[in-house]
Amino acid sequence: MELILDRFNLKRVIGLSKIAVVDEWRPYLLTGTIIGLLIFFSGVFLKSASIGFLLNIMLLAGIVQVSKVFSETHQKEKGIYYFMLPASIEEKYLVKLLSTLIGYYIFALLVCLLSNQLSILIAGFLYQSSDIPGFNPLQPEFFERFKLYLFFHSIFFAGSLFFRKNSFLKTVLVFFAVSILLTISAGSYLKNLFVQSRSGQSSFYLHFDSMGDITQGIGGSLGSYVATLQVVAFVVIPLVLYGVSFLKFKNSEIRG
Amino acid sequence: MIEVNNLTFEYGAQALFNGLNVGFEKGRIYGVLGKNGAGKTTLLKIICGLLKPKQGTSSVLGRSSLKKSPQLLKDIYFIPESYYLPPVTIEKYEKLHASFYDRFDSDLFGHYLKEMELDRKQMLNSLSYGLTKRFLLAFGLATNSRILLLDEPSNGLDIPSKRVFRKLLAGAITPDRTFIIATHQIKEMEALFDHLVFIDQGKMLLSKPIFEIAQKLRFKTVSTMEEVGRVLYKEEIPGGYAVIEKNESGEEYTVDIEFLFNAVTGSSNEVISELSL
Repeated sequence: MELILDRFNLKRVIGLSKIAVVDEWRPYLLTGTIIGLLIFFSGVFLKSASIGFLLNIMLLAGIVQVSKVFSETHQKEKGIYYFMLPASIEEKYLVKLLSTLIGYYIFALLVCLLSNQLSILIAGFLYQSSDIPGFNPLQPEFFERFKLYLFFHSIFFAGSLFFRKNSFLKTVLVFFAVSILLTISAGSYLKNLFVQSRSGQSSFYLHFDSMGDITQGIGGSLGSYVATLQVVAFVVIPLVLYGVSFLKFKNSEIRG
Repeated sequence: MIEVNNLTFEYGAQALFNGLNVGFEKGRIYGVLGKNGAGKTTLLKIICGLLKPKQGTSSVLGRSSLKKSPQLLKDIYFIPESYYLPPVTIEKYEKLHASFYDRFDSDLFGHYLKEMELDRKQMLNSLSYGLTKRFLLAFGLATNSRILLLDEPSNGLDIPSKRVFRKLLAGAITPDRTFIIATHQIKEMEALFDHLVFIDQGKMLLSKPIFEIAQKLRFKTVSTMEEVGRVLYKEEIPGGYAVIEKNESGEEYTVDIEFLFNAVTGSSNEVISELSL
């Protein structure tokens, strides 16, 4: 218990969060302002609310920021300043993780909600009636979107630690390389699956009445594979990458 | 207070320390002296836990430096040679950072800022290099951290700043604090030191309190060598010689640190063995 209190203290976590905000507020505010204005003007003048698209843009901007979140580990002066702050490594890591993952997602939803509400209000004044669709951040769609944000967040969060310079571009390249490899592997795996499903057929030509069994078999397997894939993408990969990032962060040194 | 034992550290394939042992007691101002690249900054970083040694240990106030525990970091304030500070006013910086230090004294900080001719409304990113160093010292002293590490503190300071810097440091040392100053600009800081640590080629060549050195050695300048008795070390200077001889009178003489450094790093076995007795 004493050890946990030694490593986690709410006062220090709040202190670190304030420092993170002071250090990083400019790019976030700029992104929020641009997206907010786009939502507002598209609502007021075009009477449309392409919020889903603009939220995606804002989340993409967040991912670009995430790819620089561990700049302290690559810059001597900033590293000394940051690592000498009297807080534990666990607290420092937690603040970086939560502020960029949950904090930023909530911030993005708030920007969308406020600018949407403002556009409805102003359109009401201008046109006496407003038919701009309202934005509800509590829709299940936004939970699904969060899962996707979590997936990419974990990748670029780790990329920020592993790549000293141009971490965003390098992480994108690694991501595409790994994706292509996985696609090829999955393709060959599915092909084998199909061949195995057909292995009961003695004739080269498929009998029409047995086709249903084959596709059902493959369809059933695909369903379970998609479910497994979702668990891997939204649970396993983030957990592994956050774990690896923590170990890398914990063992980082300020050289030079 | 600080124990560094059997330390081995390498930069790539190049060994910097090979079995370094050094300790730092409380209530003293240490001068860690060495040539460029001797490892002074690296030693400070290892004490802070910013670098991991290949072998050996560094413990501060009984805790391993590598743990980087908040309790330990509260008691170490490191002023590096080059630094980063967030773009905020001094006032905002104090609000953001003081809460991390249990013993931070805001009144004392105000006093030090006044001494350093700084104002709480000033933006940190608008301060010159020298003024920022003054600010860091003021904040570091106000944290009441028990260990203050300074890396080349006099670099970039103008003459009045150096004087104020020395005055504040000398006034802030207490029996439970330790200040460690790593520098190769000996003349500017020598009045502060009460303990010397010389590092060269990965080894600690000397670790002695100044008063002990002053009791054992006598530093003189003479025009001819006939004026002196048994000389432990000599160097030619314009118009004569600078010499170190055994102090047999028992009186304490002023220690010429730069000259002593030259003697010790120049492998003057007689000086080293005299000091080891």
